[in-house]
Amino acid sequence: MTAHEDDRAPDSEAFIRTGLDLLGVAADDAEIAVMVAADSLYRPVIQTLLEAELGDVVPEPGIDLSGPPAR
Amino acid sequence: MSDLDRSLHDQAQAIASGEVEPGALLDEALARIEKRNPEVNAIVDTFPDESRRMLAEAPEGPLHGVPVAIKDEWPLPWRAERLGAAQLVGEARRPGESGPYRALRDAGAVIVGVANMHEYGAGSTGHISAYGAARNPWNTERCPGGSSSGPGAAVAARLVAGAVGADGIGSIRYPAAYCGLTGLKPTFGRGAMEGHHVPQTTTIVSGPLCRDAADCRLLASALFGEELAAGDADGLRIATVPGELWDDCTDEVRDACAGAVQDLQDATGGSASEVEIAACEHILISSVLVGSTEELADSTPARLASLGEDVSLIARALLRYRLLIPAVAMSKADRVRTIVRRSLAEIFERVDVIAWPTVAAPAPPLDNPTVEVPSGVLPADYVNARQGGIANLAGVPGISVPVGLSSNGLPIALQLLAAWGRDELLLDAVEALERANGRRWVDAAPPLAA
Repeated sequence: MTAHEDDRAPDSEAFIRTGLDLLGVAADDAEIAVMVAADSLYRPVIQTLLEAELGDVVPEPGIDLSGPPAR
Repeated sequence: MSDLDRSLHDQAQAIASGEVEPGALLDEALARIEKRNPEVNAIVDTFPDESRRMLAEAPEGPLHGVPVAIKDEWPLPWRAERLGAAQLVGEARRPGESGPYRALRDAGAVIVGVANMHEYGAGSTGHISAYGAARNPWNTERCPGGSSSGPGAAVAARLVAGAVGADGIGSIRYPAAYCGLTGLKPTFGRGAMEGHHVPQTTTIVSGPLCRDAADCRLLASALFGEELAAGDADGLRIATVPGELWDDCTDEVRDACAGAVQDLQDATGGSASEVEIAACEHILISSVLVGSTEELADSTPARLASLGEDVSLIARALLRYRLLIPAVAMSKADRVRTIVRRSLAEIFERVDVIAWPTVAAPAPPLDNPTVEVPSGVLPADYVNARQGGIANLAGVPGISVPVGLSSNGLPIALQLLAAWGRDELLLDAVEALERANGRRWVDAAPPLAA
């Protein structure tokens, strides 16, 4: 775990507990611990994605995954 | 040698020529499952009466009388799928004629068993299942790969010569890699999908796990409902992608795969180059976000609360965690998908296949499914998604082919991707590679089946 990820761990637990509470979804401590572990792994890459400037990417209209994108 | 040890196409030919009596082959398959399956837990259900009925009614198709297995992800007329889980999150499933069932039936195949899978299809290792983990025939203390763990273990253990899996974030290619098999993730939409529990999927496709490319061609032809003609891969333009897809692998994996790329280039008189895929740094998380949220609409607080302790702790936790994914991340993952598809379309105008290791390290232990790669000790699921998710994100076909054994006797695998609809080219390329290495790796049998 990097120092960056380590710094996030307490935030992760607060984020998860608060988020689930607001959604009305119960979770026990063992489940929270698994979620914190997953969050420590995935949140950095999610954060990087969130910070990406993608607003100028024109979405594919009517995307068809069976073929290449329309030109 | 038992007829069951023959390849899928050999079995089909032997039955067609009258050399092998299909009823005897079916009995032999059922007996072998009873005897050998307890070591690998690949097959979770057999139904001899239904199998015999399929045989009795089997048309003279290309797989007439050949025993096969199907992942627990598809309904059969006599059995609803259970997804390797003790409880389902969405509506209860019902027995029925799924697309893969019809495809197998119409090809004359005989479904001899339902194969294990990683719980809910939510893992690349196969170490979690309501039926108990499937085990890797090369080392039964190792993961068989997932989520199509049972199809992989069943074919590697020579219980059947072919099995149908499903691939949403690499779920055919990882077990093929861990178990030393050839596994084809078809172009999106090409494999039969009717009756799947995620009908709106944009990532999952059914496909074959077999020993070699010829068998995959045969089984994929049935699943596609069209014959995949054999061609050649002469002059194959091969590209590799510099960066972590190659560099963040174990030395043995990197070396074996690099050697295989060189063999493929030599065998086809082809060329090799390097390409860069746009937005590569976002592909892992985008494929995970897109692939793991397609059935989120089934989730409600009440349904999640109702999951009991017969559902794994990890699944209970991660099903809840998905509710916390920011909507903006999903929107950006869709944009990344667009960028990656456009980038691949441009790349495939210049090259025929892109190559990198299917998995960064061989099968991890069942009791500790992590891998040690240059970037550290990481969950296999995380590293695997980086290697396999792009094909599902973009819709392109991918194939995993065995190219070596590690120093501790576990399979190593190379992955090839091609442009949309060029599944046949992947099979042609793999057949060229098989010829180049004398079929050394596709014919290698695990100790359990030797």
